[in-house]
Amino acid sequence: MDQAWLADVIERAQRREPAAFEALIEAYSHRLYGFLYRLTGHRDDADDLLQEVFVRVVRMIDKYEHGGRFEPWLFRIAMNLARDRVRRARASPVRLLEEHASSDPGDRGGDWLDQVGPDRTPGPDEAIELADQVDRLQQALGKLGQAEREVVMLRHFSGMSFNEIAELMDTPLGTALTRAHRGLKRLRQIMEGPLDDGGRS
Amino acid sequence: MAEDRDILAEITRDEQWLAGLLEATPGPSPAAVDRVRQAAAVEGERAVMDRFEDPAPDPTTVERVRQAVRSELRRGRFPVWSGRTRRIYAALSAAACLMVAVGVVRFVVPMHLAKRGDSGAAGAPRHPAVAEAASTEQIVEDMTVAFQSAWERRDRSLLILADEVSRVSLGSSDLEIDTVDAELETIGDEIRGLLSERPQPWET
Repeated sequence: MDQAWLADVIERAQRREPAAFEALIEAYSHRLYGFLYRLTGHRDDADDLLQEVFVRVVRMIDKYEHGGRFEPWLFRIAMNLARDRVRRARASPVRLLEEHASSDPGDRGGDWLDQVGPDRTPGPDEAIELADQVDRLQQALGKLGQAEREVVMLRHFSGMSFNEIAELMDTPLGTALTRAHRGLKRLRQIMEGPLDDGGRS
Repeated sequence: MAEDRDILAEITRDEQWLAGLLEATPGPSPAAVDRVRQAAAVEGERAVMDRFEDPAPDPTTVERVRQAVRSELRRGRFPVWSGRTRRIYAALSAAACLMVAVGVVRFVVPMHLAKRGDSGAAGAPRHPAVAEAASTEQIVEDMTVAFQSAWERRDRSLLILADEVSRVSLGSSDLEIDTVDAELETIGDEIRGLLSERPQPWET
């Protein structure tokens, strides 16, 4: 992200220029959506939360002091909202049932394959493989601890350094590194291990 | 130290591996992004309104606008508003509704009064055909342009009035009908005063 551009957009957003918010939405919605989807596992949740993130940005941009640290600020908002959503979902028996029943790609939003990757249109075979892979990855992520999943996803989608992540999560740097290391290792084991998907293989 | 380097190397390697899988992460649909844009725009308008802590128009003016618009809508004086025009009206941004009210005062009411004057009787028809749909829509369009201009200038008087007008006029009401014409004339003068500092699109 071009820092000069970002500083300018933020300044304009703080002056309440609608075009500046549009620019932020354009620049960040894809990454934020991916992050929210991977943390919640549901497209509907990611849709709602993406909207909520930007509503919060509009509300809080006045208080933000830009020092080249917009992404930690933005992803902190997203992470907190996702945590709340996951916490509430865990408390909802209906939602748990839905999660167990969600082997149908349609449950992930129906048109989700249309949105795969920024510039990709997979062929039929590739699409099936991709669908399986996405599903497996989501299941594997679900087997990580919440903190591990957050660190790994923050790294990928926000591009933040471990120092920034440690600060955002209010943990020592070593803890952030350990969580990433452990989380990634576990993911690899799950993904490269035998299929464990309730007979879908 | 060496152990830290090993861990970092492993993390980097695993992150690269994961990046390949995460490429397949779905993105937001265009419709979802549109909803985000709309939500942010609405929140932006609300945030701007919240900044204005000292309402410029006095409460009496606001109350008069409120009652006049409410009464006008209840009287059904503008039957065209119940169809397409009303949908356009409802879709306007909140503050643009003020400009519609201004249009009512400045264009439609004088026509209405003129018609009543022609009849010359106290029992003149209460629902004259005061405007064609096309002209009402033109007013809406002109007023929207005018509003956008006021918005860009952050004209707080207009924006606060607009908020009041839209809240009332788009909601339901049970107000009694009384002295609407006189009210509208008074409000017309006051709103004209607010707008008189610069030419409006319908004046040029």
